[in-house]
Amino acid sequence: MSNQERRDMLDKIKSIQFVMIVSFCSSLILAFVAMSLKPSIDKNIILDKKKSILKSIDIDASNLSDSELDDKYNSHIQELVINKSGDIINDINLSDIVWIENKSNGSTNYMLESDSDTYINEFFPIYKTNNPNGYIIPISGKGLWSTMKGYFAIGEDKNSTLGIVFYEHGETPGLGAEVDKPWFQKQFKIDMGKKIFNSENELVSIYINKKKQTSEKPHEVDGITGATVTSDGVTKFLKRDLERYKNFLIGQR
Amino acid sequence: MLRNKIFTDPLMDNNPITRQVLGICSALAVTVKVELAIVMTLALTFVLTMSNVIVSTFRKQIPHNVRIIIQLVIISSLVALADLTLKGFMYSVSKELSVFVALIITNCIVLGRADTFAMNNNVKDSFIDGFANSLGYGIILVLVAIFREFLGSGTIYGISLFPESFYKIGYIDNGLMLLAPGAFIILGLIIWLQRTYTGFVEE
Repeated sequence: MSNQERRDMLDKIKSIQFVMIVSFCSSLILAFVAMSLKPSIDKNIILDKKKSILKSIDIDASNLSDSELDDKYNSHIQELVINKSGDIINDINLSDIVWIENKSNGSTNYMLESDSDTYINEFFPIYKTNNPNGYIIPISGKGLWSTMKGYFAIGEDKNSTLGIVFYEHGETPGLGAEVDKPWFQKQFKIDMGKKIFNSENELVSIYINKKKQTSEKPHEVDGITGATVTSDGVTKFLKRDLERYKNFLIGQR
Repeated sequence: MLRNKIFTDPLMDNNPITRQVLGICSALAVTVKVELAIVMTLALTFVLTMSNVIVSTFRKQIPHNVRIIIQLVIISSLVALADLTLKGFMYSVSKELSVFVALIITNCIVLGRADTFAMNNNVKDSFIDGFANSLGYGIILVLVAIFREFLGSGTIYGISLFPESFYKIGYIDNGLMLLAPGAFIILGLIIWLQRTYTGFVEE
């Protein structure tokens, strides 16, 4: 090996060394910061979920302090657990249920571990609300780019829609992300008269129709122009998630 | 270069947005509200200033053939730090900024300054350069945001400026200002004004 080649070789090794040192240091710093901030980020996520739950029944909590938000949440929302056949189970707390995202279709699997058994999708969380009275159901599924997570609120009659919110999604701003916008969410409010059951008492859910002009139709709302996949996604997973609560919704009407 | 000039250049004659037309994506996206523009500016100031300082500190050690990789590692680590900090302390703002904080990595201003300035200048000058460029970016961002929030929502920094009676007479907020085209128009006007003032003509 000539001197020149040796020097080149050394240069290359040096470069690799340098990249490795820099990567190592930066990952160390990032891991440390991520770990130390995790508790406060987790707390923020829980508070944000509570905000979304309140928002789904049209209660604006965006300007409340953390403790005020907790108070408001506790005064309006009662956390319940129901089983597959729609009965309310009193001896299971909502916090016992672990929410696991199914990565393939974005749906949520609700896992409950008791002493002897593990139940998956046998028990479901539901939020009972007062003033306005109704129920809130967590929904999740795939949009175009991302898993969208939100809440869907229905009235006391277990039929009229009260509202919809999304607290997490990664859809295109200006297109799919319009699901966050008031014009879209307004369509689910009680005065729009949208229903999830038809006259034969079948669960038809709500169809996000991108052709629009749906104001007269009880089971449809206007979709988002330019966001077909997001609109179809919401239609699909809303129905799928409502199916899980069907027995509860039909049962004690 | 005179130190004064390093500081004043990016504010006016060599402004990253209006003169170099860099960082436009975020300038269009986060200028719906003044608050978002300010938080975005703070995040970019942190990333740009720190990346300039770090790159400049190691400018003699960084091997030339892998310099872009090193710069990107430094920049993306800083962006991740900024993102985590926002999530930890200003969750709702970070949610509204959504992907745009993470997209600071791809903001050409940051890599541009690191590679053209910080690699060739001492730490102190690089610090000033990074800070001044962020400031130049921030001024334009906030300026655009003030117009957009005022015309689009009738507020500035969340404070309502039109009395309720104004809306009753029939005044309607200009919805176009809340969309990206609104930002384009405002930004275009600002660039036009600035170029009339400085007399700069694109070759």
